[in-house]
Amino acid sequence: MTDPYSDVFGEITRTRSKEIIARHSQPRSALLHLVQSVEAHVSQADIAFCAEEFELTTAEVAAPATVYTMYKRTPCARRLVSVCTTRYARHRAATRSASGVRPHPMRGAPLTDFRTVELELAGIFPNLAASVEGLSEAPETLLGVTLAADRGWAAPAMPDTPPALPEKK
Amino acid sequence: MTDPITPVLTRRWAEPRSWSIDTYERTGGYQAFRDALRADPDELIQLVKDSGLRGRGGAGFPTGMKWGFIPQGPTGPGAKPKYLVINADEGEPGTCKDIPTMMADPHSLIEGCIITCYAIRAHFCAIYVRGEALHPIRRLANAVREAYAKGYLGRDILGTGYDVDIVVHAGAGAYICGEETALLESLEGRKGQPRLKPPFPATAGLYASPTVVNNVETIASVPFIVSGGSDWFRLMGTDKSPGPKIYSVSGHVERPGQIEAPLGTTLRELLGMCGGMKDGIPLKFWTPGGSSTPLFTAEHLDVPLDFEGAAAAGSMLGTTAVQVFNETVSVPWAVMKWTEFYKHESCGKCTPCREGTYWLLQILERMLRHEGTAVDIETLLDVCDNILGRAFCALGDGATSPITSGIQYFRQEFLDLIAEQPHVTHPELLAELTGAPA
Repeated sequence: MTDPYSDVFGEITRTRSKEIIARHSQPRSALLHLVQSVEAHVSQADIAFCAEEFELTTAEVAAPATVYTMYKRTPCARRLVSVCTTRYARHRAATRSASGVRPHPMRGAPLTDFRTVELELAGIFPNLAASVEGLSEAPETLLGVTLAADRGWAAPAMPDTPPALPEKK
Repeated sequence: MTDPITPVLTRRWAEPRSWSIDTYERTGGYQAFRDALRADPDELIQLVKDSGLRGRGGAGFPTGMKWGFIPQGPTGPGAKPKYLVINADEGEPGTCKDIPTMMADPHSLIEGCIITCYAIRAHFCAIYVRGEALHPIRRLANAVREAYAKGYLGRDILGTGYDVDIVVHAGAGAYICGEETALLESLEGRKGQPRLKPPFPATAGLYASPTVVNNVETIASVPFIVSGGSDWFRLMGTDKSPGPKIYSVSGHVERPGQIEAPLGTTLRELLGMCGGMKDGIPLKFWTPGGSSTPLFTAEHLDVPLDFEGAAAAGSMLGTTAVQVFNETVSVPWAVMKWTEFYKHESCGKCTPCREGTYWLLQILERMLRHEGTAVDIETLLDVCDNILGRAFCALGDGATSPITSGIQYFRQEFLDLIAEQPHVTHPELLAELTGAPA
């Protein structure tokens, strides 16, 4: 069986790129996530491919390809791990690991590999029905909702039927 | 008097599979747009004007007025296609409201998009989501698919003859793309750098056509306003800042998290809901709306957190990302870390921001390396003065906020840091350090 991601500029990638282009109202929008899903970085060949698809110069494609953090210029390994380094996250992570507290259950779907992530960011979802599942929230997300339920707090009740719309002034 | 917490946008968040169309419809979703699509678009714009809804992305611009700026009519600019672009590039440090909304209740945004497109007479909407937010992207993509399958998107929606398409677009990790014109550039496949304004997006936005750019929280509010009416919406919040708002409280509090409360809620009230300061260590400073809004201190516990209240006290409401810091945190250090962020995210298009953030960071790093000099505070303020109001977009202005407000409230802490530094006691080294002849 052929690897669905390593088909560099073969039929699958070309079909997918047509699909993405068709979705946008004008055919100049980033295909860069798609090409990154093929080679795990944006290569010179990828830039040439996008230029050809959009009838742009390679310079016009190279500009965005080199400016965004998420487009990699050298191949990524199978997985990419990004770590939050804000002062508070760092402090809390250190406190947690020192006190042996385990992190919350993961939100969203199970971790997936870098190239599948890039394919999904391009708008091609190999198995959306499954990957959309998963927890939405951590306890923090529901802080307000939970407090309100416990204390009987709510937004003011809406009228039973929507009020008539105002006339244009 | 309304309750202290008023879940509207967050009301479905605890439902099982809250993100599915079944849950959304079971809990009253996709009713508002049925009424809206039968109405006169101008009446919908008037409704949103009357509700007083203001942009939830930070600037607080009146939403109905923004929609009203879109030229209409068969000739001139009104004849061009119109677009709705949703700014879902949530990236302001400390902000966590749009991502949980798209994660837990993507259909409220989709329904808001349909109503807004109809009101401004657009047939295409793009939702530009921060690229790192993969799971919310899946949830939105799934919601869009579900809505198409039910005939709520696409051609001749519910037999009304109205057509609209929505595309979910993933960004690629650039804070600057939260700036609306940089976002449009990025959406068009270019480098995300802000455009010179005017022309504003209302006349020349996406593909040089009239475009409304609105934040997720703003547009997700729209179906509720259609269902409840403007009087209902105005029961929450204040006269000039009506409605509920999702406050993201983070930092040194016992229970951080998202709280949807009426605009005008104070930090004292929010802290009460968050179980107070963590381990009882006193509050030192906090941001009302992310790192781009000037710092507040314990003096500001009772400032009403609405657009007017935050501004009157010398800051801005921003994204209501309330980041709380206790007495253990060094202000110069926190300011340096924020500056590191702005320097990294400056797009480089304009000189004040590109060079300014570069030098601000070096001065702050030097101070924290114990090599500060007595003139550093004045130099920092001078550089900030050269950025504020002179940068191409609000990123530069935002970069100066932590520094100028940090110095305003905690100047002595900067002075003490400098005074401790060995080179201050060796003035003969100063010229070498500052790179200038004495």
